[in-house]
Amino acid sequence: MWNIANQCLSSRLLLGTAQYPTLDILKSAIVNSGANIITVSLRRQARDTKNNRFWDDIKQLACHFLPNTAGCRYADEAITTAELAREIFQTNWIKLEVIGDDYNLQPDPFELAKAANELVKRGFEVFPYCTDDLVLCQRLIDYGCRILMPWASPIGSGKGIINSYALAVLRQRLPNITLIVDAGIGRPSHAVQAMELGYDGVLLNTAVSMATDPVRMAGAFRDAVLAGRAAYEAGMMLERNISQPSTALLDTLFWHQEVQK
Amino acid sequence: MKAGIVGAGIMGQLLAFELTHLGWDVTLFDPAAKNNCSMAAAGLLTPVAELEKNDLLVFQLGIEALSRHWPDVLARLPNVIYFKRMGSLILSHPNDQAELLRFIQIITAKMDSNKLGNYQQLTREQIIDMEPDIVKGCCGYFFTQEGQIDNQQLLSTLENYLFDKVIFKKLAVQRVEPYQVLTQQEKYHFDWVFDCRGLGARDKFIDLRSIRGELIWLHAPDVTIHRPVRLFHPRYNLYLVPRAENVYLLGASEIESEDYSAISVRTVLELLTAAYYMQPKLAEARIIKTMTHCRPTLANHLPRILYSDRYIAVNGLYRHGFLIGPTLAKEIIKFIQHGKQSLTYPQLWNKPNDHDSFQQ
Repeated sequence: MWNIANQCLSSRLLLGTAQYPTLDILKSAIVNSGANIITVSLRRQARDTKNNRFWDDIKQLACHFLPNTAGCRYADEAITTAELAREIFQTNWIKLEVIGDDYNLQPDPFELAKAANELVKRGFEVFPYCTDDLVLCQRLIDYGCRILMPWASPIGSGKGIINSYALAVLRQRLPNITLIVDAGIGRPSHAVQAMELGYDGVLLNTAVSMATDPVRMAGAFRDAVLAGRAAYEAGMMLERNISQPSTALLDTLFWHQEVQK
Repeated sequence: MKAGIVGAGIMGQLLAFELTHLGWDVTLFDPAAKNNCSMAAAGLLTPVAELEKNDLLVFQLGIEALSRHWPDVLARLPNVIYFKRMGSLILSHPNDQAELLRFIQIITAKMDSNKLGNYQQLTREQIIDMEPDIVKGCCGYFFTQEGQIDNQQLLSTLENYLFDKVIFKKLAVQRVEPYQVLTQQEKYHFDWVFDCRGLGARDKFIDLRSIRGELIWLHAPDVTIHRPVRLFHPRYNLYLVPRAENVYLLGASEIESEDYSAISVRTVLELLTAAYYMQPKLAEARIIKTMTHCRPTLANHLPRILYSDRYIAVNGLYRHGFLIGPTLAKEIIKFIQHGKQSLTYPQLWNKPNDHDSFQQ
């Protein structure tokens, strides 16, 4: 169990709800992933939320909804979307996405910080989707964010962790902040890497929704996140340059054990 | 025998057509003539391509309709309907090949390996040979068995054909039950009742929901494309369905909502951007009209037939009404004539009160 935004959760995997082949597959994937938090997009799919069978069905899964501001390009637009999401989904959680570049959907750090500053003041629990820039992350914390969601690589690219150094620095320098890797995860091994770095969670969508069998892939990510976290907590051996036999070679003569020069 | 059919979309009309051929007296109820989601479809008959997001069952129903039932239905109609089986193309720009490969990976995983003859990879030259008006440089696959039908022409022809053969009641139906159909004023009795109401049948299909779709009609005298084309792009998915006389239908959005309002600016921008990308000459095409409708969809995106004593409800045709409708109509006729043991697709059939049937 772990805590995020005053909620005690069992799963460290956060799952997006877009692009699944069918509603049944989406629901089964969520269940199989074990995720307790699912992201939902307000901009398009959820416009008509009253008597919307799609949302009513997903609500029955008893997950926490994390609405996002996907598609927003400016702070004021993101703030309006966040207010709308708070009303519709009855939550003060908001995944703050402010896009600065259309090609790789890179967050706009300036508009993001501006929107985060305002939303924290308005009582939101802001989950900012940000780059791995340490100074931006520190600024978001100054503005009152308790959670940060740096990218592994651009949204939907499936390229995995491009700059593991930057992500490691964030973990080391911000030990008291909840850090979630958001975007760019393509394979379970990428999720393991993020968790091994000591990240508190992983958020992904496309890697599951676009898999040939999304439900099984959701299970693969569930296990990957568990494995990565367990490895981090268990304390991993450090790399070394010399091989050392794991079985003590008691019956080998000492001059035969000498390191070859 | 007297049949009451409620709903004059493609399913209701096809059932009326088949039953009149059996000599039945048919009454067809629909309050809004020609304002249904069947009229707003594009008539894409692409069973293999549908495997991307759907079960093998839709593929089987579709292949059967394309190869047997559509030719049979069309042969019995007085007018020649625009119906082509020249195959379809699935394309992407070389930079977006990952989208294409993912698509092929999924359909290969779902299809029986001995059916792989249904499609072939094309070189750029082969694409240009086949469809000279598709912009150079695309890569893709050719799906040999697919095609398209002018569904608006078909529906109008069916309606005219049925005009003096069935009784049309332009009435809103309040309840559909075994042996009877109830409107506000009257109770109508039948030997068999067929419920084809689509989204109107929420009382019978508890997991029924609406998925909004938007479509653009273009007239492009300078562009000649013969086969349905699907273009994969990381952000925008587009299909283009040719019709007679250089008319092309561009579709279609899939939005989780029951919203019948006009097409959004965003969908127009996305569809037209993708179309322009495929063929810049389409910039000079004229937008004839746009259409919006809501597809009746069940949780597994498959059709379902509910049956009890002299009552059949069919729903969840989603975006596959023209692809699978004739096969479903044949299946229902088999049930009426020879009972449950004669069915080809028993997995489609459920008892109305069997709540397990609503699960998967």
